[in-house]
Amino acid sequence: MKKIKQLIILSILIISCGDMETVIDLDIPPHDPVLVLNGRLDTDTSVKVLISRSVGAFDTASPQMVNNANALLFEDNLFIDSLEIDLANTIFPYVQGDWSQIAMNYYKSDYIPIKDKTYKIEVTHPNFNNISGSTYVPNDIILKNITIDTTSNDDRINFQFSFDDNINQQNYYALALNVACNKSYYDEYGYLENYSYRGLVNMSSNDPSFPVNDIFSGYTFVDDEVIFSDALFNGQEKNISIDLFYEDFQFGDCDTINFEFSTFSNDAYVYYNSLDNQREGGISGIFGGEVVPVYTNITNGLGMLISRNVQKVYVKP
Amino acid sequence: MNKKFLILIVVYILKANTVFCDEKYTVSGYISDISNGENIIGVNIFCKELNQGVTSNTFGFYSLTLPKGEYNISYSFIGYQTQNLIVNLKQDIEENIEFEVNSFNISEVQVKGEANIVDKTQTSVIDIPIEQIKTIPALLGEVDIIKAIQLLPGVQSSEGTSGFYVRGGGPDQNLILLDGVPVYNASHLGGIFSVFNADAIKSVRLTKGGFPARFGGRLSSVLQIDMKEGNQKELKGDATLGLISSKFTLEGPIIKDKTSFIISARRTYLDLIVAPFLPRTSENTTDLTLYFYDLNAKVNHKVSKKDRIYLSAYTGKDKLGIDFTENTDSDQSNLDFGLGYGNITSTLRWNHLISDKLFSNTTLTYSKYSFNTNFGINYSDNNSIESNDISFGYLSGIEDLGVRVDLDYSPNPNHDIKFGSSFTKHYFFPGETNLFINQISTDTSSNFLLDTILTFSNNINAYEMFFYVEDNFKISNRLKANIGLHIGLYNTDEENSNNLFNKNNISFQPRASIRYLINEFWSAKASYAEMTQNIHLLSNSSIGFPSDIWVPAVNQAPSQNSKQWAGNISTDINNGEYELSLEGYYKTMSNLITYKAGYSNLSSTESWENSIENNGDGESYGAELFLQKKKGKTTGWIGYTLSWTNRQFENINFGEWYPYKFDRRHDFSLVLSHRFNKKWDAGLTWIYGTGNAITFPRAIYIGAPEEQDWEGQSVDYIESYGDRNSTRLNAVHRLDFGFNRTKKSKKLTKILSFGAYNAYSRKNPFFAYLTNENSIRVAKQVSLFPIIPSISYRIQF
Repeated sequence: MKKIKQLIILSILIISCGDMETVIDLDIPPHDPVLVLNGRLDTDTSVKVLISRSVGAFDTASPQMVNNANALLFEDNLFIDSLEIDLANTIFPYVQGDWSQIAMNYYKSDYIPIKDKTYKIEVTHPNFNNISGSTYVPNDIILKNITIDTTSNDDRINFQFSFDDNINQQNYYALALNVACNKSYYDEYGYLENYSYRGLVNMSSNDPSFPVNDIFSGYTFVDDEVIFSDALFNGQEKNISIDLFYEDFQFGDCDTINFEFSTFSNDAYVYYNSLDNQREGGISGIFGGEVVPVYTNITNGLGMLISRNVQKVYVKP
Repeated sequence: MNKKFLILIVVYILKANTVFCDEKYTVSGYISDISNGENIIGVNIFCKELNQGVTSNTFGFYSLTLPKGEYNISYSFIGYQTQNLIVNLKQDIEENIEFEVNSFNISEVQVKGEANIVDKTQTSVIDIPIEQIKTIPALLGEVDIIKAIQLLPGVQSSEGTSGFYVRGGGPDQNLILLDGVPVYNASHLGGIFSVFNADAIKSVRLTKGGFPARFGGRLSSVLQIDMKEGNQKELKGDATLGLISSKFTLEGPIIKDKTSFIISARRTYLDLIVAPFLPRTSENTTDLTLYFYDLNAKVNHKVSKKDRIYLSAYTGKDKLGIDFTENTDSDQSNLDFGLGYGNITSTLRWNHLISDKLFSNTTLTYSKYSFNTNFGINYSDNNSIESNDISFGYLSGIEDLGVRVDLDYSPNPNHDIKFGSSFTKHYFFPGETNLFINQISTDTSSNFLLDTILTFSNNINAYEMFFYVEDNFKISNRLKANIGLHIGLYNTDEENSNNLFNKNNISFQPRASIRYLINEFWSAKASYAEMTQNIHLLSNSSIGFPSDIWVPAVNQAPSQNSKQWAGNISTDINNGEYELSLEGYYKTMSNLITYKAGYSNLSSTESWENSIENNGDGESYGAELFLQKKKGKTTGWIGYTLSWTNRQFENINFGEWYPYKFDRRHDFSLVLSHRFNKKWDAGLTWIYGTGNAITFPRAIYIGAPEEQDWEGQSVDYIESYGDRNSTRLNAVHRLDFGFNRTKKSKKLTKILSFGAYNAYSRKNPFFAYLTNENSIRVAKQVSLFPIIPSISYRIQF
């Protein structure tokens, strides 16, 4: 019996001491660096894209920008312009997560994309395979029945509008509220206060087409930007109703208020969705969901070329 | 159409009844083991003069109808002495046979009739004798039926867990029947062990394809596990003391040869072993609950020569709990976490002989699976002035109530007609959360009380009914077929509250198997089966985690369907010593569902209907080789599977087909049992399998800059994953072995078992992830089990 006890203890020790993690080699095909094209063609901005190169998942080097590529812009398969790198204007965005910065230079053209056209960008470089991406810029949407109700509730205003969805295609929309507020005033104790805010404002809605991201506020959606599809109202008139709470912004103190109503290309919707899902889902683990690959529509390379038609509706001034 | 079909059936039954124009009589009865009275399934009853035979059914009943005359009828079954009966058939005869085990248990036995692999009509069926399962080395010495099933060709598994995947199907597509009752979660300790206590089990049969019409409700497999009925002759006991659990089984007659019982219990005691090592001071105490238990019980009673009643039940539960309490001079705080899940099943069966050719089995079934978890934090000062109490609880599960009638009609040896019907009411409770917050403070204005139940998905009743008819019939001496039709009806109370069944939810599922006898030793077979499954399992873990939820087919997630074709060639080598089969299959599946990519059911507040991708398709195809040695001192098998399994969902992998997680290109298993002498026997298994398919980064690139709220810009490094599941984990291989030393005395049999799981301590992948180590990106693999020795001591009396 004593021996049995010793065996039991020995077995438990073996189980508990056995290292469960090992660094391993996985059978991952080697990755030859490819060109990466990133660009969103908006109808209110001239064309600009970024070109970089990828690295393998286990490389010690970081991905780098490529500043000596040739990039050509085509509209409905007709050559429009060569994109030139703008070395005079370097941006330094933060690399999310570690606060280091990376220097980036856009390849630019003065050309502003037009709605209802298909654009293609071809990129060549002597050290890499040629890549290309194309995107269709959606047509305009007519916004109707725009109403703003500032009187029914003390704590919020309600904003409504409607539009007709095109039955012949899958449509993806985005809505955001931009404000610019700057006002000085004396508070109840006589002190001079300055209210200043510039940027996006939270919108609250129970619209079934919006993603559900809240359950405690009484609204199914609360966020400062929403992307939604026409899956639930394809080919029909769609009414949008959103509430804007005063705790988020002071309507009366804002000089500029405008809604950006954007119609995205199909690939833009898929790209943003996949990017958000990858960020939310993280890396696949034993208890987590499956990882979401980020969508790419670049032939022979990586990245994305997407577009949107931006329509601005000014509430103020 | 329906009238014509009905007339066709009537004409067919009449024809089946009139094959012989001569006077005909029936020999019928039950076949049991002389030592314990247990009914024996699949015994071959063979009339040598007419070269015709039948086999005993699940309850040991047989019925052989022959023309008037004198015959020598043999009864044979592997491991038992063959018996011969000479009858002068001029009237119906009832002949109950009691079989005696061969003196050395495994010796030469002439196997005739259906039990021979060459003669069987059905494809894709494997019976594993429970005694063989008990010789297979097991993790921590816990004999495990599901782990034995995982060693069969066509069955894939995840390292160390008790989930199994048959021919590319999901874990929900296996119908696991314990005494005819579905078991929804067959795992203990998160999948490390299965719920079936081998000491209480009589027989195990896996059907992977060519499903006869009597089976329905799942797409990929039917695993039939029947409990022992209890010794009819004498009181017997069996006790096992193992490393982490102990078992006790008692069986015997209540009324000799008429009523018997069996009760079997098992409990683990990891928590008791760990308890002395838990931190415990005057200020802090930690309590751990970690165990599972099983309890099987069965009573069977022979009411009369024509009636028998069986009542069986199973209950099992896993409990995991951690309770941490801290006491100081001024306050007390407590943190507790608990998790529990388990099954309850029960069956009431009534066997009735309507006539010597018509056997009926009526079954009432109940099954419940539930999962619950709770988490609580409590704080209070010693003056009871201030306290905070926050607790969270989650409950989900499924409950079934069913009735089923099966009739077995044997008009003559050329036909075995089975028909019947079943009705099941499912009650799904896919998840509700209880939230309790009670905050009491000296400042009464900040007191807060919340006691609410949040239900993210509605509870649903679902109703399933089916009718079936099948005939296993002999067309000629070489050609035999099993043709059947399974008609399923389904509805939920959400979709149609007025009619019990919606005509849109009727499914016609044709089944056909055909066998051609090439010669005495070779046969070729083919089968086709359409299956419909009205329930889904939602899982986003790579193991069968108990939080996975069962949900009914609804509009957003319609019933799953499959079609499977199989072709088989079988041979019998050296007079039944070896059996060899090579089988190819092709299976398509539709209306599959899965969680949306990135979704985690442990953190989401979405209803399950809004969290899924639906209308998925699947396909699986491959070949399976199975060589089994059934006689001699060494028995066992070699199984090899070459297969491909793919899935396609509109919103996953951008709509392209991708390999299923358990797509396993090569799967090999070697299972050997050897008896050295009366004292010593040994078992050995070696497995090899291609690694699971996973999605893993291949490249990194710079994403597009994004404007941020702080009026700056940021970029992400984006990981490029390539296609879904395009990377393979390392291959799995493992050697297990075990030895048994048996010592028999007049009253006791003592068995000392010892062995090792993963004998050469192969680090098999459980899952892998990417991380940084010394600023270098590396892939890390988590392995569950190194070499694990085991020892157990068993006493039978």
